[in-house]
Amino acid sequence: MNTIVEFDRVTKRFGDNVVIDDLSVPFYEGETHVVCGRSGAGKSTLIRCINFLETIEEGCIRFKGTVVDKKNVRSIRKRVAMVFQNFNLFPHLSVIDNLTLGPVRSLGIPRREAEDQAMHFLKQVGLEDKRQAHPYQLSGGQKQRVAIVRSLAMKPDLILFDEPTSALDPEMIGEVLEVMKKLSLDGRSMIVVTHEMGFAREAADRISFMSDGKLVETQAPKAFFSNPLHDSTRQFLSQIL
Amino acid sequence: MAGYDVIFHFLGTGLIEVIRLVPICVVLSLIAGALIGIVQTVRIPVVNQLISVYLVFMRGVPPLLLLLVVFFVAGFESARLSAVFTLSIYHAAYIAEIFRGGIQAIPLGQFEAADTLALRFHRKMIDVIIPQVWRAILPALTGQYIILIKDTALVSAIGVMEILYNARQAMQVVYKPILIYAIVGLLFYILCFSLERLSAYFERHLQTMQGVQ
Repeated sequence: MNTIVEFDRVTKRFGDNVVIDDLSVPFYEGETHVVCGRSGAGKSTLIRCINFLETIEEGCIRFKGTVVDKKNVRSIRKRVAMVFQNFNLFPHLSVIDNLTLGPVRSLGIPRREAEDQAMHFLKQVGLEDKRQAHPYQLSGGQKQRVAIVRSLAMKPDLILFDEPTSALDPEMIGEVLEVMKKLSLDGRSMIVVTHEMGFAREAADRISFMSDGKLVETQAPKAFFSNPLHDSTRQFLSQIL
Repeated sequence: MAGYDVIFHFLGTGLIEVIRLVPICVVLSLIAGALIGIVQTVRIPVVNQLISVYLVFMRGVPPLLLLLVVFFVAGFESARLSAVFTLSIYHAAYIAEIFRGGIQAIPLGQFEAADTLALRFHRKMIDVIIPQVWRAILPALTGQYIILIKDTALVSAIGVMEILYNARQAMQVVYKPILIYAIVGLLFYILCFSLERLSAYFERHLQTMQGVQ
């Protein structure tokens, strides 16, 4: 199995606060790797380091062998997409323009081709009739599905999900998770920070529990839920399940 | 009613001069102000210190003094050119601050989403950030340009024949100060009011274009 992202003794601090603590971990190609943990454990920071939205103090992160640093940042961002908790769609652009901006401006794909490709993905998430809509005309679940399509339109090797359902009303969580499960089944490489344990159980290939800047354990879903190795994991699971 | 034709001739000439000055100053100060405002948000050490010196200087000096200093020191070929330059760099300082504030008011997530799409800095600004800045800063921008229109009254000090200069000329011929100054006031009012209407139109247009957030 090929590694897609490798953390090698990575430490990240905000001031005196150690958010990622001497962390070494591989993430594998074609896998859905769920990272869970309490808020403040450093989960979001962990994935934001991969596309250089955060910079690390010590150690090294490699994406497909390329070191994540200032020099390589654009080439890495072209291949690593991200879905945010708050969608972060561009409010002044229509759905289709939101979807084609990256491919046209960053990847240099001709507009027509980018639009065709965006429509293809938009159909897959059932939103082809929203192509000309603006984000404010969409529900939260629709916004997040558009945001997922925006990430797909970049044809990424890896998609990072930063708590993609945490800002959604309960009745809209399902539609977003459904899309994510489909992507997982397609064998896409995904790293997902989420509290949705149902999704983790069904879709994840691996689940990590993060606490105090460390991944205290990483297991396949079955073992993770039935036989957690670590006390803190057990405690966490008993609280949220 | 002798004299009205004289008054209107002079004031009309002055009005035309103002109408020639203002759009150029608006365009130049907008370009310079936007660029300076954008650069400020990037925080480049030395450049930023230079910019703050410029801002403090422009905002600390009366525009009339600036007009006189530039006129006597810079040696532009015409007073008009000198006036255009001075008014533009003076107002650019204020507009830079308006832009900086507007950019900083955009949620961080918009910058991050643009970064995540691997957009280059200038594309991020042109395609994502600046289009969202307009609506927020339009009222402040309009206010600044109304001040610019009124500041054109100052350029008579260096011999540019705007409305006030012509008003004094007219008075040499027809001594009706109250009437003449009343008309001058009315002309300025019409100019400023038109700008406000134009800005309100743009504001509505931007709203329908971007949707109400």
